[in-house]
Amino acid sequence: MNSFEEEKELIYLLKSKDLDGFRKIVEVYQEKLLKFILSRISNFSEAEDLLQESFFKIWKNADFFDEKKSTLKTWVYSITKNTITDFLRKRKLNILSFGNLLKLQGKGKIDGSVFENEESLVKEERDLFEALKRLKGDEREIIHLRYFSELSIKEISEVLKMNENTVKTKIKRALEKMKVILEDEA
Amino acid sequence: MKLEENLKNLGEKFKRVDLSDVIIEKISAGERLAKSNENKEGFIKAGEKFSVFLFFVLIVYGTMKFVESGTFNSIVTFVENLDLFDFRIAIGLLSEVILYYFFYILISTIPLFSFLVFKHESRQ
Repeated sequence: MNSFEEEKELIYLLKSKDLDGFRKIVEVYQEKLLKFILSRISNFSEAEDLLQESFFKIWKNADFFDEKKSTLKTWVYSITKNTITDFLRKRKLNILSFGNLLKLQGKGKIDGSVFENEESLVKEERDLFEALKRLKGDEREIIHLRYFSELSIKEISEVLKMNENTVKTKIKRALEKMKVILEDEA
Repeated sequence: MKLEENLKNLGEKFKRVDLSDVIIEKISAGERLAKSNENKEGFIKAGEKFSVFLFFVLIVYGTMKFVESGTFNSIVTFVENLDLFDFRIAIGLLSEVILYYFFYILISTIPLFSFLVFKHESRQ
């Protein structure tokens, strides 16, 4: 089955509002979406919660999906992006309302590794991940979308609502920044 | 180019998760809750309509009983003989009407008021 046929099937499953069918959508997108969420949320268990929330929203809004306006893939990513934004906004409000910055800073740290087997990572990969963490949030987000979730430039531009040239420029700049960080580390 | 390849390889080493059971269970629980809330809302709406209906029935019934009562006849007589206007009689009749309606409205509002309390409590 090619990707076009797979997308058609997934849309059909989404529209049929059947939970067994929806499971297939979850299985197809869960890992990629989790990688995307991890670009902004470094706490793994919080990222898992956001993934669940995103799928819940996808299910709830299934009737509003319009295949003429976007592909299922970009729609799913857009919902996840909104979920992340809401979460970050609430967290920011928490900081402002309680002034509990130190506590929340601790919460933002990595809770468990994001890797399957962290010991198996070679030094080069560790350095790469460290360099990635030093990028700004929006740069990290775009790198995650491009290389971890493997979205095309066009798809990224739809998800982030930017034009394709801006996406290309942002990727190029983020990669250059990473190169500089890696060279400095070396 | 090497950096891009390395990033792709790093992406492959992310933790693999399978949350499909948890997600489906959560959605299913959400759907059950939504359905139960829908039923509850349906019941509340029906109850609301019924209590308003009951309120008007009681008011209409009260008015009919009032018309049949002696007080009503006294009012009619009083109006017919306005030229013999007596302030004390007028006050007496007026207080009877107020008392009668106050009492009836109080009784009529009990089901409506009880329902509003129930509605508030059930939505908490």
